Amino acid sequence: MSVRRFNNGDADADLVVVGSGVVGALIAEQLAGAQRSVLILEAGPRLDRAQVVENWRNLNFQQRVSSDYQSLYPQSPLATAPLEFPPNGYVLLTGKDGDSFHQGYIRAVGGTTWHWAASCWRHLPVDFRMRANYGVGRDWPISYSDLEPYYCRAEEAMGVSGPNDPAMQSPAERSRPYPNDMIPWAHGDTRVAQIVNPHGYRSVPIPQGRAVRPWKNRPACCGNNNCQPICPIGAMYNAIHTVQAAEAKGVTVLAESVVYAIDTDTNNRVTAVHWYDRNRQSHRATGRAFVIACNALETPRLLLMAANAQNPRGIANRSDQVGRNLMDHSGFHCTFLASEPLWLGRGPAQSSCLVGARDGAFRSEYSANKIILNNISRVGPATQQALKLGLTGTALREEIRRRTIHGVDLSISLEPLPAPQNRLTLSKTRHDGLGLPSPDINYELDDYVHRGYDAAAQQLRHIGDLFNAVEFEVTTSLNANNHMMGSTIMGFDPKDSVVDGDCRTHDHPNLWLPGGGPMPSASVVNSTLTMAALGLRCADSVQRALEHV
Amino acid sequence: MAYRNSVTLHRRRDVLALVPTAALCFWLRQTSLAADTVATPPDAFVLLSKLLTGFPDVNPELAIRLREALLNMVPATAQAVARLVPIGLRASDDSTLMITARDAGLGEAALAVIAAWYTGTVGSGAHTEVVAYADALMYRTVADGLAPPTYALGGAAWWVAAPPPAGVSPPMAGPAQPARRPARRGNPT
Amino acid sequence: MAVHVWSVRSGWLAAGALSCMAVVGSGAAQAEAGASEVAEQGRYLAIAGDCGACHTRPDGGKAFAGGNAMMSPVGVIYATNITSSSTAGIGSYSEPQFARALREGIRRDGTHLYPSMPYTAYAKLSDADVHALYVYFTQSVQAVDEPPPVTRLPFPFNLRASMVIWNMLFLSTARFEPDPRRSAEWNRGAYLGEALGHCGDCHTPRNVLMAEQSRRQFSGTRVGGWYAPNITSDPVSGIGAWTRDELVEYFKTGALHGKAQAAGGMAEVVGNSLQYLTPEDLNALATYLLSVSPIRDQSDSRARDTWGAPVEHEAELRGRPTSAGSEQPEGNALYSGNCASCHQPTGAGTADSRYPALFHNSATGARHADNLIAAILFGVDREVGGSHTLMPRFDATSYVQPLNDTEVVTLANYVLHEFGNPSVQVTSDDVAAARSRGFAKWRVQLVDGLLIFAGVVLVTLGLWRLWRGRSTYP
Repeated sequence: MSVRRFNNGDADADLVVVGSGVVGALIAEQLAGAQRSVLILEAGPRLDRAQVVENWRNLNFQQRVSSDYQSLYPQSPLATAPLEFPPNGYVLLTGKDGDSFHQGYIRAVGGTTWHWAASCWRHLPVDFRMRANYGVGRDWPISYSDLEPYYCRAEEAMGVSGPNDPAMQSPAERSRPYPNDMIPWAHGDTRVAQIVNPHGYRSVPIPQGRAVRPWKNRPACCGNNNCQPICPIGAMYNAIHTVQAAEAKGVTVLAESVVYAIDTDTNNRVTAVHWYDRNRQSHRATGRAFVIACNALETPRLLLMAANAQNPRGIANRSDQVGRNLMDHSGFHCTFLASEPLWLGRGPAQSSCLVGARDGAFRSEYSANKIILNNISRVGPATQQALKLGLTGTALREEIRRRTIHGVDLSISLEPLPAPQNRLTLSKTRHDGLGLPSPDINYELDDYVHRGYDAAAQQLRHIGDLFNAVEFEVTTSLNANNHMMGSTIMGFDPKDSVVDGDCRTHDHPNLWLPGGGPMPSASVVNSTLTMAALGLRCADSVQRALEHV
Repeated sequence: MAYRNSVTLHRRRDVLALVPTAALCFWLRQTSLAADTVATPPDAFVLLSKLLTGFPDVNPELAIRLREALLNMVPATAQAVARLVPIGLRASDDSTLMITARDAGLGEAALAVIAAWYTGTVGSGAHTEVVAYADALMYRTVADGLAPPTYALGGAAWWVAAPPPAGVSPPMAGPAQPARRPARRGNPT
Repeated sequence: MAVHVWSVRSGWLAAGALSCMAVVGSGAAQAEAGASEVAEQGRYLAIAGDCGACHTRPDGGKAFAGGNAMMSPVGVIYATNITSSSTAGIGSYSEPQFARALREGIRRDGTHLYPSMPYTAYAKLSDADVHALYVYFTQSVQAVDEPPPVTRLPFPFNLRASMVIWNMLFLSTARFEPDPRRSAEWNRGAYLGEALGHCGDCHTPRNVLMAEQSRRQFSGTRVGGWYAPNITSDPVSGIGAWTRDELVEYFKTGALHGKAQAAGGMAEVVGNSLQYLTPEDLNALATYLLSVSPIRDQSDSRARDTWGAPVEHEAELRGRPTSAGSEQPEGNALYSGNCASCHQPTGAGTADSRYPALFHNSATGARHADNLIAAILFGVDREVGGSHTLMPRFDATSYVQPLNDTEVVTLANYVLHEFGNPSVQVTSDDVAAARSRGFAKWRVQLVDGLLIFAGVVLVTLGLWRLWRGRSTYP
């Protein structure tokens, strides 16, 4: 059950997992519980929560107000993640909408769920059948009911609090209640729902990976409103919790271990991966099963980088789909000042969301949307605006208060369709700290998304009127939402997909690529719960496969 | 708990209460001003800060750090702040101060001092220095209903209680907004 | 706790009850009502005596089925099954046998119980209360037929017979005698505190043979990784400055804002027992406790809940690279990064006190820093009135941030200096010791005494055999 380590630093395990985020950690924990030896290789460092919290408090005002959730996280110089303040140029973005794909993710033990809102949504059943139902996009090779038990297991693993009243569920098809009932709403959520729901916008409680009571030795959420960039008290689910649980079960986690090469045998089974340690020494990890769960950018980057004689287009890439079909919930924002105080910022960062436009016949023509009521304190933007007005003294204080308690920020998500030209490739000129090729990303959105934007903008105008909004603004260029999907797409046919319904690659019988990469449709809801569910389904598949080795 | 104290200095007459003190300081400082055009005595800076920000009680330790940070900024800022101080000592309220400051071409400097106190960050762009987070005055304006992020305002589910009374009038329609606004670089979700 | 009035597995008792029902008719209904009143009384007494603390496993164990593993330096002691099961529990016990186990520490088969069972306190129970407990356990508590693991300590600690001598020395068989000079309420409180609640079990220091030192009653002592403080009426070293209402508030809720909060074993006492006592009983217990002979420790200069004031270091910390998470972390950085989110930069806690202030807090003002270290390492876990209070732990299993010894020492000393008693200091030895003691169930210190006691017994036995051997020679 223990990983074997050799004097030269090499290792051997039943299962080798590359990436210690939510997906890799859940799989490792399950397999360790099944008495398998499991090694996790994580490119980045271990983090200290208190240090990151203090880094946030020490970050300058401008960066905080610009939602810089990356700079506070230490990085390994050998495992770069994107930074924007100033830009570190790790990713080169091209294409008409390249500027809408500035993704932030964390390369460290525990992965990107160190900073997220912990919104734990399920896809709708129809989302698995976009082609069949709406004639656009792709169908999944599995159905919602195939994934439903795994959604339940993922919710349990992450300690999700969600509405058990079916009228507030989206979707309502579920076989088990949520582990905890919904996070209670603050005044702002309640008032917004009262105002918009009679008009069909359907504000519902967001299922969240936190609880208002202690949950399995995690403290109750205390509403310190800092979910992104980091939960100071560990009440919010961070994958580091699962990493710790996995380590307690005997999983070996090697931090600052950057995988760069993959060996395959004559049957195209993966036999080993190679990694650089922090001193740039190369080591080899052999295993019976391999999972690569580095997120939908780093996974294809590794697969392309690891092209070998047998797999010249990249590992798992006979289909030439690795890195393609990149999607994110490209989105935009709407801000205004309401005519009544809503006091947003009390409680966790996101607690309610308008899902009325999440589905409908229109999806054959244009993108669905969801509208999140951001519950992040408006003090920062209010202060920026009030200072710009040149106010001083009492007038300034009152204006900041006025803009804070009346201010609203809505975050709108749209649904891009998988398109082969939206892809990650390896740069031929730019390299990272280890000399490995940095990623180039091309991203272009079509009219499906633009028409979806127009429809959403109309809905927003109406919503603004319902609040007698002043200073009503809608951003016109699309921003990223860190939900990378599609780049190792799932399908029946090895000619146009990378993995099957268990996230197992068509090309290599003992290699799995779970996470956002396999997702054939984006829907409009945050992808993490679906990724975790796919991870657990993948874990079952790995477990079955190891029994036959 | 400096950052948690609720707002008390609302009315003009409270500000005017500073006048005797200000006048006294003015009288004391008159003789030293001629020799002290660049250096800003800490007490005078605190007085200036109180007037500009509208808070009668500013954190003295923070005042020291903030003043130092301002003085370390671009030299023009340091000099401007130094020239503001006597204007502050002579002014009877923040509006008068700003009028006089602008007339003297020191409006920007005054706003820089205010921005530093309210945001806790001195400077902008490439040269910034953070001097405060929770103690930044912006958080005090709403401390009765919001804590600075990373701090709890109560135990679990404290936020279901009704928020405090607004205490300010609702927003009025402002000037027309620019047609296009670029998206932020950071990712809010 | 599942309570069934008629258990079918009570052997002879069930037979008796059935015949009662068949023969007596309407009198049976009255007998039923009477019996269920007694059982209800027994249920209340079992709560007051907190039998469940040891005999019900906290991780979802069945009521009174035992199996609680109490770690000791010499092995694991398992609590027994005291349900009405006649195979695995005490369903076959007669009432005298039950009374003997409860008050003398002797099982039905004649073997001795270790004094981790507080029979020295229960010895004071009245016959009526023992009867009610008997009725409750044998008739109302649902039988659980699973036997818990058997306690097998290594030689010589398995010599239960050594308890004979210990009992001769330290077990008083006297029942509780009310003091005629005191009010009925006081006497009720004394009975609750000494017989049922067995407060002295934790709060009274023990001698080298691990018996309570009655002359130092309630003056405080270490219990596992925590410290059960001085709860005598001394206003400086004890709780003499508290009012009766304050003490009752503490009993009922486990928290007294601006003074103290129950953690570790005391949190269990409040959660399992005190919160359910009647207001009259709580008042009585408080009355009694506030009258207990004051015991002053001369090195105490002020009450442990009166130290400190709000203080913050934000201006020092901001805009400078933090030392939290580094090789040489500083106290203010550790406090800010790990604690201030809930306890606030000034240590004042939140306005609703659900995250308490760290000044005017007995955990930081006490002369012994055990409870501060334990709170940091193991957290605070308390369920009262349906509400679950949790301060997370920061030991190696923390889901917030595991802290190493250097971090805990630095943080604890910062908190003591800034918010508590600044003359108290902790060292890494203190922290390392707390980590290893902390896993032990709080009762287990009693078994330490067996180490010494077994030595005494062995020597005595050895000498006795020598003497016997000599006398058989002609």
